[in-house]
Amino acid sequence: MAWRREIAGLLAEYAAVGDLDFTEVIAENTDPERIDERLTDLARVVPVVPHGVTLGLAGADEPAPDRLMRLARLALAFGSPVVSEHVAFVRAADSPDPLHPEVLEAGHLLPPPRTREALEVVVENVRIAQSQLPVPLAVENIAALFTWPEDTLTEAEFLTELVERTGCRLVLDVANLFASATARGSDPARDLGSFPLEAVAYVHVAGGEFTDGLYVDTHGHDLVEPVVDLLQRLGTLYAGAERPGGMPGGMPGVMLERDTDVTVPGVRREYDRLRAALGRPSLGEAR
Amino acid sequence: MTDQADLRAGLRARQHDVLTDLLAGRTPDGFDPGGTALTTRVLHHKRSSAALRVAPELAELPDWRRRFHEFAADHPLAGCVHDDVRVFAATVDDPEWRRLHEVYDGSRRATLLTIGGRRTFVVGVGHRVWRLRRRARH
Repeated sequence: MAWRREIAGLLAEYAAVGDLDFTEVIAENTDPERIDERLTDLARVVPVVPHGVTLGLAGADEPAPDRLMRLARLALAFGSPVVSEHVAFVRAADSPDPLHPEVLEAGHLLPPPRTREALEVVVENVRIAQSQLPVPLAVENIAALFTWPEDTLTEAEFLTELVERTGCRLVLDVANLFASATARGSDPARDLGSFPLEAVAYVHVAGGEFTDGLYVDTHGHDLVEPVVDLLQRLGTLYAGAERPGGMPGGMPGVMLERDTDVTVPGVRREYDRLRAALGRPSLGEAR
Repeated sequence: MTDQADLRAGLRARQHDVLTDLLAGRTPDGFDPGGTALTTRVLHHKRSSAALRVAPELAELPDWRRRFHEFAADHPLAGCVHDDVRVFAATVDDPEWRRLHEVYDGSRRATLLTIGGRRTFVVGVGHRVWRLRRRARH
């Protein structure tokens, strides 16, 4: 479960009985100088991963040193095993002049064109980020409601090459994959099989809703059935559905994200549902 | 290095053009209208939700989300969320709501208006805003 202020007590409770393997904090909401005590306490028990949302690794400009520094400082403060960000652009300047650009802020994660040219820039951005971070970087697939007309690579091809050329890890967001596949009209289960699964550091899942025939990853609704199915499908892939013996290490850790309507009863219900779907009943209840 | 700079310049121009269209609610050439229209809605909704967090009085403006999203389409975000609220508020042609907003931003001490069908006295004290209502009669 992703750490949010509203459920700090619940996560401490989960961690105490062994029901929480790791957690994640939004880097932009966490000042390395003033870390919530409850988070510091939790980091003594489970790994805490700093998760950035405004770096813009798939933007045209190099990742900003101050944003990278914040991620690095949080990783050191928590003793994190990994830092994560998204394969997305979040802003666009009209000129490379760092002093007088007109910068449009999207305030949201948007997909880059999936071309060779864009891939070159993203590879370079990831390498720059890696050189400034004290721990490995994992990059996440975003929920994209559109594709670009000039795309020449599939999302799986784009991510596979990014992983191969930079050695970065992946945060595989199953709900995002479902959203993107629905919007582009591809088969999410087939897409899942062609992602670089051996590079996955951990898995994200979140709730959302259907709007106008598309799936919107809101992080404010409950998990939908097709996303839970896809997650279970992922489990079979790691267990060896298409590769004898499965993959070394088996299924990576799975984390639930909730950003709006974050309440203890709501999170508890969704977390129980997720655990049941993964065949991981609560250790707390078994005691 | 020049190659890399050229690639960045090309990507920058392209992303700037497409983001300009998305923020304005236009479908960029060659894109799917359904997916981009929904993306615009998500972008505008995130922006109005951020505004609501710093300016809860927005909720008292009738049809405020639609108004805010129309404003957003014509005004790309410039500055911080507080600037956004200030610029939006200046476009609102609703004297009663404008007075309410002024109490919240500290430029007016108090105002009397109707909220939820009841006369409400709204007064700012320091950084807090109080809403006082006459107790309902039975």
